[in-house]
Amino acid sequence: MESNIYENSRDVFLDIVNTKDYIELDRISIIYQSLKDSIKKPLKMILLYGKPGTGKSMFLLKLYQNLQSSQSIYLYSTPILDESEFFKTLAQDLYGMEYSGELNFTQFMKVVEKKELNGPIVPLIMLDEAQLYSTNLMEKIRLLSDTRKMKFIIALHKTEKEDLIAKEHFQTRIWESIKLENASLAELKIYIQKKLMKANCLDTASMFRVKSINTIYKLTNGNYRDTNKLIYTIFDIYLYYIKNNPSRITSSEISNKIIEMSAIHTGLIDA
Amino acid sequence: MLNVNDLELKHKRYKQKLRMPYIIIFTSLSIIIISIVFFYNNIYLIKKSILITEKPILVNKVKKINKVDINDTKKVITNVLEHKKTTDTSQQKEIIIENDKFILLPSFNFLKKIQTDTSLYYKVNNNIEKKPTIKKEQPIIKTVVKKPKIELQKEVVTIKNPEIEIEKKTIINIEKRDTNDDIYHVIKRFKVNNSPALSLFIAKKYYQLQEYDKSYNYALITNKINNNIEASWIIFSKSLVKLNKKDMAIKTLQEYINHSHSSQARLLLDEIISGKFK
Repeated sequence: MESNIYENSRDVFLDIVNTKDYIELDRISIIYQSLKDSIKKPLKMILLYGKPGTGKSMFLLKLYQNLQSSQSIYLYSTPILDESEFFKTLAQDLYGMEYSGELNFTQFMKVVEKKELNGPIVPLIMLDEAQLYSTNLMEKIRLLSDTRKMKFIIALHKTEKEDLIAKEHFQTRIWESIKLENASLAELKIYIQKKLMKANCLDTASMFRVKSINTIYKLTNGNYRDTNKLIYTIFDIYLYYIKNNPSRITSSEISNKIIEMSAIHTGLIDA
Repeated sequence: MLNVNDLELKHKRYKQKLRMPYIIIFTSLSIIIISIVFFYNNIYLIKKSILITEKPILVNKVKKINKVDINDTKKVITNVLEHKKTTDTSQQKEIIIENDKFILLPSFNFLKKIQTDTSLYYKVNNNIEKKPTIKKEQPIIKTVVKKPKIELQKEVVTIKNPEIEIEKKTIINIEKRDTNDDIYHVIKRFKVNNSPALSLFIAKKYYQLQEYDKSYNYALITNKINNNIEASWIIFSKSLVKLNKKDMAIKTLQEYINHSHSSQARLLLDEIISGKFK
C-alpha cells in the first residue's frame, strides 16, 4: 500500500509537457494574462525566452489550448528545420494547400500575398525551440511577419540567438519580450505541494518540510525540469527501500540523505 | 537504471568530500597552535637554562662553606674573594654559626668608617673593642660583603649548619638590647636611604645609651636633612646640655622657638634655664 503512494507520487513528476499537470503560480499567471492581452493587439512577433526548464513549452501549450477555440492558432513544438518542409507545413495549416514537391520562400510568399484573411483575427503561429532554426529561416520568418497576414510567438533559450533578435531590423518587429525565470523558494514549495495534492498524494505532500524544500531549492535553483527529475528519483529510491529495506526510511519527512542521493543520480551533485 | 547501493557509496564519498576542507582547516590550525606553543616553551626553557648557568659557582661555594673545617672554609672564602674581585676588607663581616641561630656582627673597621664619615664636633672615643659573642667553639667563617649595590649576592653566601636540613627554616632570634649592635643595623640602613627618621632614631638611641656626642652628631645630621623636625632639635639641645654646653643649647633653642614657636622647645628651654634639666 505504501509502495503505491510512492509510485503515484513519483509519476506526478514525470518530465512531460501536459497541461493537466500545469500548476498556476501567481507570477506566471500574471505573465500569462499579459501575453493573452498582447496577442489581441496588432503585433508582428512576441519573444518568449528563458533558461531550459523554466516552463516555456508548458506556457505555449497552455496558451494554445486556451485560444484554439477562439482563433486560428498553430503550435509547432518540434522545430521544422527544413525550409521547404516548413513552408509546406505552413501552407497546409494556414491555407489548406498541399504541395508534393518543393516549396521555397518566394513561392510561399506569393501564396501569402494572394490569400486574404478570414476575418479580423490574424493567425498566430507559435514556434517552440526556435533557437534551432537557422539564421536564414529566422530572417524569412521576419519577412513573413511583415506581411501582417500572420504573427509569431517565438520561444527560445537565452542563447546567441538573442543576438540575432537583438539586431535592429528584428528588434523593431518584436512587440513584446517575455522572460520566464526559475521559481523562487516559496513558489517551488507551492509547485511541489500543489502537484502532489492535485494527484491526491496528500501523505507525500506533507513529507516535504521546510528543510527538504530548502535542500531541493539549493540543488535545482528553482528550475522546474530539474525539480521534476529530482523528485521523481527521490520517490524511486523510496520505492526501492520500501521493497528491500523499509527500516532505512521514515514516512514523516523526506530524508536529506535520499535527496542528496537523488541529486547524485541526476547529476545535480558531482560526487 | 537506479542502483541504490552504488548511490549509497557515492553519497558516502560525497559526504567525505564535503567534510575534507573542514578537516584540513582544523588540522592546520591545530598544527599551527601546537607549533606556537612548542616554540614559546623552547624559548622559556632556553632563558631558564641561561639563568641557571650563571649561578653554579656560588651554589658550589655555599655547599663547601657548610663544612665544619675552618681551613676549608677559608679557602672557599678566598676563592669567593677572587671571584668577586673585591679588596675592601673594611666590609668584612664575621659570621658565627651556632646550632640553631646565627648572629651577624659588624667589624670594628666598619664602625670606624662610620665615625669618620659623619662630621664630628667632638672627638669620639674609638677604643671600644667589639668582641664577637662566641658561645661555642664553632668555625668562624668570613665572607666578603660588598657595597650596597651588590647586596643581593650577599644573601647567596649565607651559611647554614650542615646538620640542619635544607627544608628547615633557620630561626633568627631578635633580642632587643640596649647595645650598639642594634644601632649598627639602623646606621647601615640610614647610609643607604638617608632617611631623617632613621638618623633621628639613631640620635635618640645614642642619647638613651648616654653617648651624648654621638646623639649630638646624629641630631645635627637630621637637622641638616630636615630642619623642621621638632624632636631632632630637642635631642640636639639636650645633648648639648649633657656635653656641658648649656649656653649653646639655650641659644639654639631660642632660635628654633623664634622660627617655629614650638611649645615643647619652650618647655625645655625653661627647664634648662631654671636648672631643672641638667
